[in-house]
Amino acid sequence: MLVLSRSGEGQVFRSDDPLKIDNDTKRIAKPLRRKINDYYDFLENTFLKPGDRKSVRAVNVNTLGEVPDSSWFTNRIGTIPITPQSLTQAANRGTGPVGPLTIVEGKTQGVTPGFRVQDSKGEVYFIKFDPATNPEMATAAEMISSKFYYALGYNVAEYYIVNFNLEDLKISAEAKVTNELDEQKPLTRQFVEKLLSTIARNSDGSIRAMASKLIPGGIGPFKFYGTRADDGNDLFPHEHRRELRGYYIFCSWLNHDDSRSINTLDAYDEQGFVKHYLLDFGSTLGSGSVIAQKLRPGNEYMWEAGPTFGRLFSLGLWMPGWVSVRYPNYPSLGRIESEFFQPHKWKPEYPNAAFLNMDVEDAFWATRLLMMFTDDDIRLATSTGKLSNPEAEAYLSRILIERRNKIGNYWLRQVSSLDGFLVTDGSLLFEDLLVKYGFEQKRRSHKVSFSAFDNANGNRKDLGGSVETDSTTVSLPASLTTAPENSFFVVTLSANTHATDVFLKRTAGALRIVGVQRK
Amino acid sequence: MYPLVRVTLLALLVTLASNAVAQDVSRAVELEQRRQKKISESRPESRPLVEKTLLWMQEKKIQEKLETPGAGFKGIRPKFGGLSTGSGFAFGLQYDRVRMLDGQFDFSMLGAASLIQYQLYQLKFDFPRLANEKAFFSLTGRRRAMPREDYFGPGPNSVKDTRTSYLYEDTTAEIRGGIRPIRWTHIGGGVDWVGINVGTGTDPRFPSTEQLFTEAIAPGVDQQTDFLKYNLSAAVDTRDSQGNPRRGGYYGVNHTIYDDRKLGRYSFQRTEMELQQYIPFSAGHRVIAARFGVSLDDPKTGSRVPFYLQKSLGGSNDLRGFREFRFRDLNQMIGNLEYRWEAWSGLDMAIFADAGKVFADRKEFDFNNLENSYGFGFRFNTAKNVFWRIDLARSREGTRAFLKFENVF
Repeated sequence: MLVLSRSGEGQVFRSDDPLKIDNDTKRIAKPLRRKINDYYDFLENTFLKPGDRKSVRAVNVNTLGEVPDSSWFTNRIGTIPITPQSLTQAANRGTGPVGPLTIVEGKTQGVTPGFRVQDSKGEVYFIKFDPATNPEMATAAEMISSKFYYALGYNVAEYYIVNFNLEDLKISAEAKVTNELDEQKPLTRQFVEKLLSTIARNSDGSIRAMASKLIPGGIGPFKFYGTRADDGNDLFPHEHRRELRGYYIFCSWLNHDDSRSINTLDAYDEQGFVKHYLLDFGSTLGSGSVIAQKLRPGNEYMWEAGPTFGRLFSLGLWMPGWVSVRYPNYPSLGRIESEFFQPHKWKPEYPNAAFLNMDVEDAFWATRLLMMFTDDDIRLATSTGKLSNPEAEAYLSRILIERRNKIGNYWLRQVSSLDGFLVTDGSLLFEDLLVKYGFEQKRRSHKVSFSAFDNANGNRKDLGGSVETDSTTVSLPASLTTAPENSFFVVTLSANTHATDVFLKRTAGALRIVGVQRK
Repeated sequence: MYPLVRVTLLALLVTLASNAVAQDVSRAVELEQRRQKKISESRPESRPLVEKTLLWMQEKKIQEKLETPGAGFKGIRPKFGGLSTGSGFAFGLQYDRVRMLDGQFDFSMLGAASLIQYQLYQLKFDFPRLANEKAFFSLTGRRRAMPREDYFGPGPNSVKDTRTSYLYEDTTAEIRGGIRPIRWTHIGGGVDWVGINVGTGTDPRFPSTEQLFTEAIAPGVDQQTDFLKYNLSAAVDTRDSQGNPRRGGYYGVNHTIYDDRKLGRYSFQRTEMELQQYIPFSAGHRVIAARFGVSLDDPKTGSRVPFYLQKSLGGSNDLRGFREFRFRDLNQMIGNLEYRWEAWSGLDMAIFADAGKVFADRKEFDFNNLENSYGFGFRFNTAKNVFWRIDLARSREGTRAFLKFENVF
């Protein structure tokens, strides 16, 4: 545990707190590739409740409640400036596949047909297509969501929208396709043409596709609970990792119902450690990959006893509210809306141990990052989906802005919404995110109290001089600003039922914030 | 100072000193030590047996091999069930080769038998995707043996207690072909040769049919014949899926001439019509499903329709509150109305009502004197198919439960 833990072994705050980097990139032997069985994953997560479900704080956060950089997550938005270029570029390090593309392997199984292709530079990509009923839908969803997830800090593949003519597609002489009979057959042009006869075409007959660059070293998906026994760097149970618990918030925002293990990847990096990726965002926003998203996903698990028996015994007379939701007819978007959406009631396809362990601090952490996307950021990322209907693009941007605001307005109220703490000129500065983002018009009054903090045992001693203020600047008493080196203090800001402890350490002649804990 | 006290004090000092060292350990170093320890204890992942088994099935594509024509183990697949109603548990083997001759030709061979000795052997040469899937043609050879078929006597007034059983065997050579001018239409026809034998039933609980019914009541019970069948059919099918429809309809007509080539006493013509309509509401989470079917037989002058070829009513697919083949006669009509609703994505519920009758004279083609049954059912399904159906139905003759591996309509 990285945060505020003594564990009976040492001080509450260590010399290197708050930790900015969790160095989990030690060289290890390459773990064995593992697969996940879809049925088992569903059954296990639905009926067996895997992982540790104890109500404990996320274990991989630093003393500020933040997630240090690691092989799972890299702090980006809020830490480094998100420029239009960095937002739209995301994980992409090139310009995408350079034609002509040569198919090296075909795929007929799985949800969508696709190919593995090699471009003229020898780079390998997977390409997937839009269903004929919903041109642009899945490719746009994948593109847009990958931009957001990357900016938020997750590892994602490089994604590119490409357009090509069928006749420009080459087929490698060695290319094979495994058909539904599990037979490996030579991949023929006739087969490719037949496979592509069911997908969406551009008005000029060309084909639009999503090309995702191969992540080398893939060793299979990660699970949302436990750790890998063969990865020594994998120390923290996944269900207690803040970036996986808080992933719920982002999935709810993007309606990423398919946010399960099968759509993740562990990859053995060439430097000898395992890096963890999110993959396959085709079932996000209003897309269900091969169809417009159905009504249930995002609203109810695939199996949920209460609603099931409710419908069963009421002879279907009772139907949940999501059945009646109306969606505008944008085939390139599928089904997404913001009016019915309730941030805390959103659900993935089936239970997820990390999501179920999410507490208000995890939610705050994620919501804080999400709220950093400005309206313009959202419009810009949405434009990367290259939707040909400007109305559809504007609608999607509006919906994402409204869903973001709903998430902010709900989750920022579940814990103290104070943030952005800074000590300068003998004062503690902060901001109230509810006010900053317009969910509250007026700053709330806070009671501010000061305590000395014993770093050896965690005991506090009230220093008196508590004040009531609605200001976002608190003058620190002289007993703090003139204290001896290595003294620790706590400033507690309380309002209503919520409070925030800000831990200060006198070091190098100044007070430095070493910890934040929200209650 | 006593030695014991000295030792205790020394231990205390060592503990304090080590604590002091521990307090100096930075967070990063502590994590580094924990990782080093885990790396030294690294071991391969272990999985629960159920997951291992499912993964093995996934990797070996066991489900696909069982379900997909042409897959299997070198093309051979086990076949469970699929014989006629009342055959009991059946098992067989099927051999398929599909998409031969440039994807046009499928071949299948099947042999199956049930615990009560129902048997089916079939050989099929199928060209289902001719002319860019706009035409189809098939040749089929089939041999069936059904030793416990039920017969209760003719007409709507047959008595439940006069249940008998008979052996039905046929050998068929069938030629079928047709076109699909547009995706949701079907026009087809065929010629079959059918050699039939009817004999003593083997159900020990009931008398054999010929013991209770004479040729006058049950035509064909004494002597069987061979038929040439000429068939024409047309259908419009706008259902969103054939296995689990939620919208659209099916409207089909079928006309068959049964030409008695051996005895010349049992020739007749049969005209059938079937209408199905599916009306979704609540975004398809509720569906009204309705079916109406009628079958009218027209014996050639001087001929009669053999009892074993007369249309029947009763059983899991039509009048569900009655036993299979409960009523037989020249003509039959059946109506089914179901209200289906989704309990969860893998289960639909249904309440249903069935009404129908058999009748000898076409003047009785009306809605009077209908037999009826009602009940409810569970339909375990995927988006495209109902794979497990449990129906409980009640009629004036009692309550019946069905477990079937197919949809009702």
